[in-house]
Amino acid sequence: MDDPEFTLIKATAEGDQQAFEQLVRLYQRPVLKFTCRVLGERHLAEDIAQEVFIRVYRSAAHFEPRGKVSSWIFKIAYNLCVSELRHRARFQRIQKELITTAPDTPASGAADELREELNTALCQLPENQRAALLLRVNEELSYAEISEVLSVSVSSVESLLHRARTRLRELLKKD
Amino acid sequence: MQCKEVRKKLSAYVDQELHGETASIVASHIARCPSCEEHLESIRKMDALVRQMPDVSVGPEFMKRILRAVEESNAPIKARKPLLASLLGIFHDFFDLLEGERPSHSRALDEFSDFPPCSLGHAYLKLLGSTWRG
Repeated sequence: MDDPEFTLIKATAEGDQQAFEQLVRLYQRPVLKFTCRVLGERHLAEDIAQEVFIRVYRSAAHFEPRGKVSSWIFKIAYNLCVSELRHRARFQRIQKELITTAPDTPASGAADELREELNTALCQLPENQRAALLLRVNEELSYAEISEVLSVSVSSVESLLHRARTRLRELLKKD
Repeated sequence: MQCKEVRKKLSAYVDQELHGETASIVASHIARCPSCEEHLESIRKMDALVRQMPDVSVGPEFMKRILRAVEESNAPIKARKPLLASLLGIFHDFFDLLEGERPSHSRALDEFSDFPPCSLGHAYLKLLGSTWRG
């Protein structure tokens, strides 16, 4: 296969440290951004992002070249985020924290206030709707790729995105 | 198509995931329905806002942290041996044991040579002994 990212995965599976570093360099920002937005907490997001790359490293030999590398990596990230949110039962607390604090930037000016409102609204979406929206809007994944990440059908992705946008619209209108 | 049905499709329309006839129907509806057009614009604006949300900062220490964690988590990974190769390996080792020289770690079996003559242990040791001696 000619996909350069697949070549990196293959080389990582063979123990090539540099290939793995290159893969991390390519994905550290999108993965951290995704985990940060889904979990809403920077430190926790970093821990999960770190775990994502450990899993990528250890599972590289089992990667199946049928799908895209990005879908595979985001699938690992999404599953870890969901597991974190569900099993540690921290979701409620995190949501409350997010309602009062935006992770990276302090609010100043109308634009920042709007972003903070958006962040708060995003955190009120169910995790699958939030993930679908972030993967579509930020990462520009197709519906087929999102369906792979979330392990749902393409029509479910369409429905998740429709509901996410409708709910977000309602939440922003309220404020 | 009514406004209600069109609105359900607007999200997929924005994402260019509608094809064929459905895409044309939605497009022509939007062209003549200001309310649905406004709805479409609000989706586009929201998407733009999500895109403009502040990016996360990633310092060089994050890469170091990952590499350290990977190093601590395990030794370098190796591709998994196919199942058939693993099974063949086991058979190979087994026949090596029977055909090769008497392995040093099995010499200790002599210590158990006082099994009663009619016991399974005695028969087993005898079998092993005849195999090694050829």
